[in-house]
Amino acid sequence: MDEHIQDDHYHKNPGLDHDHPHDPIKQIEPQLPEHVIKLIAIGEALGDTGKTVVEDSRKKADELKSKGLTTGLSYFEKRLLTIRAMLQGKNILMDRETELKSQQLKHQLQEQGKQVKEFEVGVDGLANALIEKGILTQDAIDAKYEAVRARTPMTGARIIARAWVDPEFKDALKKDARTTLEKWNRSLLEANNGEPIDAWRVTRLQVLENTREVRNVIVCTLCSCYPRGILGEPPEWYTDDDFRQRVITEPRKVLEELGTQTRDDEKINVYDSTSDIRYMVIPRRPDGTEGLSQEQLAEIVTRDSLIGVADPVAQTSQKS
Amino acid sequence: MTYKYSIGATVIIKGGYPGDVKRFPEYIRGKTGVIHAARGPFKNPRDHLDERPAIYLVEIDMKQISPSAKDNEKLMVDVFEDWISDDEVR
Repeated sequence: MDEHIQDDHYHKNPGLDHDHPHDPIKQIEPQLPEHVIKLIAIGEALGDTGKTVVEDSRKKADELKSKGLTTGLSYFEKRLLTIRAMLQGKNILMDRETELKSQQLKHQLQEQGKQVKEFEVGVDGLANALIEKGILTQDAIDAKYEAVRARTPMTGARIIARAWVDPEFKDALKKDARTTLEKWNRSLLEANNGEPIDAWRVTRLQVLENTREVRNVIVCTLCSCYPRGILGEPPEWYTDDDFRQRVITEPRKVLEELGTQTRDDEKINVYDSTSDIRYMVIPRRPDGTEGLSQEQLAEIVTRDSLIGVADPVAQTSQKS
Repeated sequence: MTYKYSIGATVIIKGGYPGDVKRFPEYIRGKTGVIHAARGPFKNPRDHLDERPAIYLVEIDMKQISPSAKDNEKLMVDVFEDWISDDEVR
């Protein structure tokens, strides 16, 4: 899958310029860059130590934003800065210690004549500083790294495919996603490359079905809450202020910008994940897919359709 | 678990920063909505290290936030019990 790696995607700010609303997940969701996975892994490993909670980083992120310190940064650059500032604020790790480690790595790379990427030395420096200080172990980071890597929207797509072919499963999923997914555990484990679904992350999953009459759209106006356990990381536009602020006041216009036309008689429900519940949408199954297998159906589910901003289309291996 | 408010009830969201609230979507302040579901309270040690109040899924007409919104455009917001005002609706 190396040919699908798009490093740049995570280092630019595409706003609502969304080119591929209808592309299947396989084509739009590259493996996350190594250092992005590593950063997420560090954040989660820190959470497991009990020294930091999600609330700390949210507060710090708001503070940095209000000071204008994160303007122009990509989502993961912001996250790196936030973790560093949070550790400093809680007296867990001084920022200069991280900076020192990053500078050391930078010099090493330069001496070896290798290209220096600021984000990458930033993440590696943070990991080194945390390990040296005894706050995290290499093993703890490695274990989280594998867990994060195994989370992709293909899991969500497989759940949708099953829901499309099995009405009983779909109804159960809408009523109680957690119990239903646990019963279906074996398939889920396979879908997640053998990595168990993080129970915490699906505890409060609510699954919503889009119909001809009702379209559900997901947003988190406060930050970027997202059912990562089954969908992986959100697209960058989902985390942008522009989407988060406008989808709650002019959803049809925002959907149109994302390439999705709505009918006037179609009800729009915008779900704001403001607390402990995460949402995923069952998109409408496209016409002309009656003959497809569950596996083929999973392949036409798009990541954006799981957020409700796009609809899957009946296309198979042929890309138009 | 018994809930203070029942499904179908019309409620008003408190003004200001109601209750012991860490994250509050300001745009729903003082708005009126209808309860669609009641859930929790959840123990959420990883996020908040404490127990949170019950959560209600409240449907709010988007028109209250955005005058140009249509009648069939709704906001579905998870609202903690202590964000709901005791004021009677009408």
